Amino acid sequence: MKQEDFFEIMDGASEQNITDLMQHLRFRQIPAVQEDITMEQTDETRKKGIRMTKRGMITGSAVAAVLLVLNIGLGAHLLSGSKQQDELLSAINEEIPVSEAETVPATTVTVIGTQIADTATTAQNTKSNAKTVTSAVQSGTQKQTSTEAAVHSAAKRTTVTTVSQTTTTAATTAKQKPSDHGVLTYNLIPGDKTDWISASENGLAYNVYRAQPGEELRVDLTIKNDPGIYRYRLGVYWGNLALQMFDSKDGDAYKGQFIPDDDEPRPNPETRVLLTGRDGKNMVAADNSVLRSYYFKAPEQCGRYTIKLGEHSQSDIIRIDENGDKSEPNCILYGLDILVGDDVPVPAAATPATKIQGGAKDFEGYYYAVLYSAGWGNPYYTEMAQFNYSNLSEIGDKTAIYLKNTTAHAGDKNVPVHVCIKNNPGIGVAHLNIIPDARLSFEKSYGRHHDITVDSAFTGCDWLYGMESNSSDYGFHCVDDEGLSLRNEIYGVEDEYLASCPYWEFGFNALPDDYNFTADGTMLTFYVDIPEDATAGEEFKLETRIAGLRWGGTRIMNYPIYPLCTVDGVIRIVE
Amino acid sequence: MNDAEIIRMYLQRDERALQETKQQYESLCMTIAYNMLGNREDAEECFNDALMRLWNAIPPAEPESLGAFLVTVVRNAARDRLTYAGAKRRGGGQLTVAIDELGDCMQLAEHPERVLDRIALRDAMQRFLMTVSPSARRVFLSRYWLCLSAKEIAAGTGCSVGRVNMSLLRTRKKLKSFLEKEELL
Repeated sequence: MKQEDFFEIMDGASEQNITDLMQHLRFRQIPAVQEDITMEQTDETRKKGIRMTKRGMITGSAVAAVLLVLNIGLGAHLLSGSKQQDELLSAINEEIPVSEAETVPATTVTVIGTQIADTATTAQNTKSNAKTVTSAVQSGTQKQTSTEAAVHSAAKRTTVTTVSQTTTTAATTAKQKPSDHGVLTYNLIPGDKTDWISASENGLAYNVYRAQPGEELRVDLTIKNDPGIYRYRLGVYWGNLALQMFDSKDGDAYKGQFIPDDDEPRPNPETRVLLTGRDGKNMVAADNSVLRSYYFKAPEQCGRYTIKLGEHSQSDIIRIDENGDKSEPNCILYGLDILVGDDVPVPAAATPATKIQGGAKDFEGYYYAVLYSAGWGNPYYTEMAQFNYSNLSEIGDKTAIYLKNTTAHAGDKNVPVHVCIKNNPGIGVAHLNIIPDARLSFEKSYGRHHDITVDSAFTGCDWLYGMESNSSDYGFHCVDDEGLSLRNEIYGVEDEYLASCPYWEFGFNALPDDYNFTADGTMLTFYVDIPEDATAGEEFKLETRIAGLRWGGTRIMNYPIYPLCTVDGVIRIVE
Repeated sequence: MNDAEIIRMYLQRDERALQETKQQYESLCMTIAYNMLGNREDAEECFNDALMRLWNAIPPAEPESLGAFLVTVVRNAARDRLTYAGAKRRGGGQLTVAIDELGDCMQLAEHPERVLDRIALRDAMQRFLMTVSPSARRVFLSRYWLCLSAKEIAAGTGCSVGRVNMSLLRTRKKLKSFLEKEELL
């Protein structure tokens, strides 16, 4: 279907339909957009007050200018947009646990107040946020009567900051040093150069290196204050096609597994996701050790070329501490500004991107957004569930996930149904819906029990299915003992029975350190009970649909479009 | 502040209306634009463009639902951008997938009467939407009119992703059956 056809046909929706839809739709911000906003907190955007990239700012300015000419005052209003700043400070407020002021000694309270004041200065926040900061410090003041002077000092600094926020030039004058003491920090630095400006020491959002046109440089991704994370995913982004990465290599930070998916340059450099993984516990990277090195060639054109870091993690792969608690640290992300040309000014003080501790759900939206922007989305999403067959012989050379036909007797218990794959090109993650004949029964329990077994097509898989609300919801468990132990400690061993669910949902996630795929093999076996009143010759159908899919592990640079299909299965009753 | 109050501000040419609109609808509009265009910068521009159109449209327009009016404007703005960028450049994953999903239910032959087919299908869509349950219709329109992902729809409607996917699957099947009955396939 063509795009214009799609839109025109969907125009059949009436105004009443859309009004009704809008009355019932509750919507929340997608984390991807929020994250982008955070990472776009440069001072240019702050000064103009419009959260946008360069093109967006031009448009915004144009819009503002037009409206100002019309003398309607809108321009000023657009220029005052500060929602993203609210979000930033609100995130920073979360990062600094104000409640600690209730219990910590006086000196610590002072530090907290200072942090807030510094952060607020840099963030150039709105009045309401300044109130939040002030009230937070005031709260500390009330609770810590014996340390009144110290708190007063902090509060005073905050007040000064609040006043300075009313000016538009404070961002360029205020220098702040983010308190990265003890905070997990990722840094992109020009590793083979010495004449660069450190972001952390100069209150910048990005490290700065002034390059000659066409100069080649090594950009190291380093880590500091590693709390012993088990595994992380980091994105390295640069939107400007003029900046070319021509190579990348492993660093020395970890002795364990480290699998990036960008062994070779890709034509689309917008987003890369790399995986850092370690197979052992208690491994801590040395400060400023290199996770990975990227080799860039600076563009010939003068300008500012920013390489950003985006951080995202999954709760299932976060290291657990000795008490079994999840350890999901906050972190600071310093990108790198490559300035080409002597006339390009060094950006003014700004707050670096941060990742604030959040739940897995916050991560999920971002994760998918990253995939889309990476251009990964089209291959597997375009193809998913497009083809469905009832016979394996019809699939040709397509990649197929299919249910193997089998036979059973009436009243049989635990009849195995094999979910298989054929022509597997290297699928990393899949999410399946099995829609069974309503008379078949299957005890959908969460966990690796008698009703489901993992087979050999993938070694090292996490399987997940129906945890709550009749929907698979990111419960993981690993086949290896360490992984299983990890899962149990994070989630506890749970059992959920979802008898009313009209379909069964399975998923798997191949472990990143175990990319041994089998082209043709059995992925999973589940077990069903046949009704007593089934008759010979009767067939019980099991439809299968792919609800989500991702390729991975093949180290291919361009994710090609593989024709993908599913094949339904049948249990035939025999005498 | 509710929609009626914001619309009143527009009618009074009070520029605070724009700020209120942004506060209320920015996340949704940005998501729609992002899903259609597949690019954050374009989505930003699209949203600004939509705000501009909204400002110019009210008055004289006096919409009953600001949200419905705004998402329509955003959708049209994104659509214009896609058209301008050329047919080859489809938006992000969501639009592509949405088109392909729906393409399974209805296929337009390449012939001169294509436009007529399209109009017939649009009219059929209008009739079809009256036959499905309100909840299924909302999910369907969220997916194919707003181009939201299943996950976003789940978040917006309060049900699970699996349920959204299942609802979509069933509604598509119904649509196909409906169109076959109407002899449009």
